[in-house]
Amino acid sequence: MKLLQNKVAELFENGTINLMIGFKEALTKQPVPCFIEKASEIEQLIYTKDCKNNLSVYLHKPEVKQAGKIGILANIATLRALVQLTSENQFWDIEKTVLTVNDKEEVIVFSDMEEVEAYVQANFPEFSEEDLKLLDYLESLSREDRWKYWTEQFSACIKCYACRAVCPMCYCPQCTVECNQPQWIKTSAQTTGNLEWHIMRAMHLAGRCINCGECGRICPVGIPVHLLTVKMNQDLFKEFGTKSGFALKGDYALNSFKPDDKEGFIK
Amino acid sequence: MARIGVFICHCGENISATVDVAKVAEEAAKMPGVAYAMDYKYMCSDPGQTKIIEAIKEHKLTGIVVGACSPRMHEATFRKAAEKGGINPFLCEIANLREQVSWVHPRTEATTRKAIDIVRTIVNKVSKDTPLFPIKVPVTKTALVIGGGIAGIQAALDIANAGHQVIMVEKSPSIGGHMSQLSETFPTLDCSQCILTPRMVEVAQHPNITLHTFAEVESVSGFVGNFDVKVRLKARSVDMSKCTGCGTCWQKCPSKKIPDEFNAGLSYRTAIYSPFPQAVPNKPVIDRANCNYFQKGKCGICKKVCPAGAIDYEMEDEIIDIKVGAIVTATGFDIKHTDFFPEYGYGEFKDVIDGLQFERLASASGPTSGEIRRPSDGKIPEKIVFLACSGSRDKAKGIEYCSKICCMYTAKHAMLYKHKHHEGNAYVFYMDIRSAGKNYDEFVRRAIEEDDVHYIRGRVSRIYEKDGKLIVKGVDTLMNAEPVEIEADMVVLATAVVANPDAESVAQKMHISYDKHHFFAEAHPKLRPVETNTAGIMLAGACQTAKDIPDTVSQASAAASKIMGLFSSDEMTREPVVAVVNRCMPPLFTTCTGCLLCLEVCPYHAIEREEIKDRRTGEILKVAAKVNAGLCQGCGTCVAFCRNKSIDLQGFSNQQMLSEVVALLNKPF
Repeated sequence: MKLLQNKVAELFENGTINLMIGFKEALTKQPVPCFIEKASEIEQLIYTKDCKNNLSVYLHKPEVKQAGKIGILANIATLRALVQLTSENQFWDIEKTVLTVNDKEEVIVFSDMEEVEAYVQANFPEFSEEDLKLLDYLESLSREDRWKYWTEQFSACIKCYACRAVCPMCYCPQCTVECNQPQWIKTSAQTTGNLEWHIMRAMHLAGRCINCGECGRICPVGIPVHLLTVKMNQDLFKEFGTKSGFALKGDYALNSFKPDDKEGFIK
Repeated sequence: MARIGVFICHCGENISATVDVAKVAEEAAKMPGVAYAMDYKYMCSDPGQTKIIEAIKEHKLTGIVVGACSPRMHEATFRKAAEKGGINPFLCEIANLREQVSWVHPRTEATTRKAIDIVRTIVNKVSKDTPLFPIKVPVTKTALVIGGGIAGIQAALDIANAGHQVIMVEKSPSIGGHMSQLSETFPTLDCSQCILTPRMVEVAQHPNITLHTFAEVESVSGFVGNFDVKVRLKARSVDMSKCTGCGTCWQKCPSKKIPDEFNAGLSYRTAIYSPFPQAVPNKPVIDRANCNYFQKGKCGICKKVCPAGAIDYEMEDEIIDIKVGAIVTATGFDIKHTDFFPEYGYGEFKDVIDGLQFERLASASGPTSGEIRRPSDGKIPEKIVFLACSGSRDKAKGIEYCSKICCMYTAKHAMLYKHKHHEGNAYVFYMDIRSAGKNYDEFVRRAIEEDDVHYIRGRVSRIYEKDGKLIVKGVDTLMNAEPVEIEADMVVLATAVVANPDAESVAQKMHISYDKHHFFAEAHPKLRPVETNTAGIMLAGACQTAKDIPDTVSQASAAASKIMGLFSSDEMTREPVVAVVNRCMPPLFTTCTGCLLCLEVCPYHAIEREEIKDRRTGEILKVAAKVNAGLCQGCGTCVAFCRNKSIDLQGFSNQQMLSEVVALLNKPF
């Protein structure tokens, strides 16, 4: 821990960063995000296996961007998000310094995004077993039962948009759900509107979702929404061999055509 | 509140025979926003258009719907009328009641109901229409002509004579194309080179024409009026500015056994060569694949003997960028060779030759100086059999089409042979004689009646060699299908005209469409036969389909005149049906996220990165996508792709399309 704090202190000292986004202890078991603006606050900085939040979501906030030079303590999901977001041309207006702590508890300060890309590719995470188990169960259901499962889940949705707020890929300044000329999606919290919202979100994240699982974790009514995009990612890999958050020169299935695409989905 | 006028056309009886047009007009009048509705026999006629113009003025209409034929047919007509009436032409929309209703349904109530539904959707769309204004694009008044055969030559000269700059790119070392290989031309029997070579020289000397031979188009980007073309100037290994074309190099070159393309493989050429004596430019190139120096690293004789010091082995391919406003594609054709025919010996029999080889034998500049001699032993053949339709019109061979020129050149070949050897015998096996054209049938009759060529209607099943003769086994279908066997000294196959082997990749580079035989596709088979579907790219000659010289020259001149029309003004007007990235108040500027994933999606490369800057400080405030209106073809792919609907298609906006759908869903029953 001291090692990490020293490193960050060094970055503040030599003017590499003005703001550090990291984790601090909280009353709960899980550490919470913290924003360190001066060297004196560095003591609270920690990093443990329980640091699950995807901090890259804060890089879209104008008040964070104002700092200009931003340090970010990233877990593997965050690193993937940074790679994906770079491929989507999102960081033209900030200077960021990316840090991570590897399995051997060593602190790594990446000098550029290419290094992050290489690290991500070397440590590319698997889908979580828990998710795969639930997905397998859903796959085993009949089409009707699966539909029933999801409509039941979505009927609980209160349209708080927490899933959107926590998602680092949901950075549109105006979401489709807010487009009202024409109004594409019903905004009230009722079955059709909820369904439309979640299907649209899954489609917009297909091939872009980096599997941090934050949307499922944050949902106040406990809908496993992240499974939709996990499934999308599985299918895209199977059909097109693409992985999101894997390469800086994005390999995005929805905007590219390859002559050797299997096209097995056209039946 | 919208005041929409609805005009239902009878289209003579085309629409009114199956649709109750009066009922449609009556129902339309009740639709929300409709201020006036009528029906009329011919809306596109002058009185019909006048009715529209007057109605717009009288009823103060804000938009009109014309229920008529396809918008492809008369949208422009009615939009002009709308403009004359004083409203923006893009506030006029067409409800297609002919192709989508009357032509595809019988006369029933349901048909009329469908017509009413379609009118309702369009009325709803017009209520969401906004005025649009044509886009002006500057025009680069330089034309690119790809291919230096007679088609390219004619087009280039026509455009250059009109005072515009022309850049001609030819892939082989000389211009001239297939026409330079021909002996005499039908139906006048004048010498091909005598009429062609002066034009070749004219191209080379024309002040408005820049000629690049031994060059190929690498890529074409941009759009009509503003194409960016990369041209690869292949390394000639000969410095054109120093070479005088004296010919010392090719006389001394030791690699002398390379089949000569110009003589259709009937003679040999050297590794450093100029394709034929009248070549333009008459300066050699080194064929590196067959040159001792390049393949084995030793020789260098041409460099030693060149008095001008023009040989440059180090020369490399050079890529040049050119900007042109329009392109003529005149890349020509190829023919099937004798090896395509297993039944005629797979090309194994030396005295079975194709039509182009016969041209070379008959040509004064050919390998036999115009004496018709057998390639095998050089003897003068006493009996020649000509086979028309070799490959053409043969589904089994995958070539269903007629190659068009074979009937005529076969008659010509037989005639040339008879003129040179009065005692010889010429037989022609044919399926039908297709000799439509000025003086064409007379020409064939002359071969049959005056020159005593034996025409046999039937096909040949097999050719084999026996005792130095070629046994041709065929059938005479006009003689009770009796088998015919001829002992011939030589057989000439009028092989099928096919597209160039690289036609597909050329079409893909140019972004033009092509048919299954890889012939390039015209925009409309009857009304736009020289334009392609890509604006600004024209077709000339046999790259489109098999053509004879008069047709090729006519089409080349037509292509040239299309381009001259394009170059007649400094600006071009384009329809404003293009995609637009939205703009809004600061600090948002646009809802576009600047993810730029749409750049990849656009098939026309029309989307670019835009930096929105503070006008005073120059600070970048936002990065967003921007659609180049000149490049955009309005396909709408980006609109469908954009996650948060930041791109919309003018004239077909999301709002407009949804209003059409809503009109259908909310229809009163």
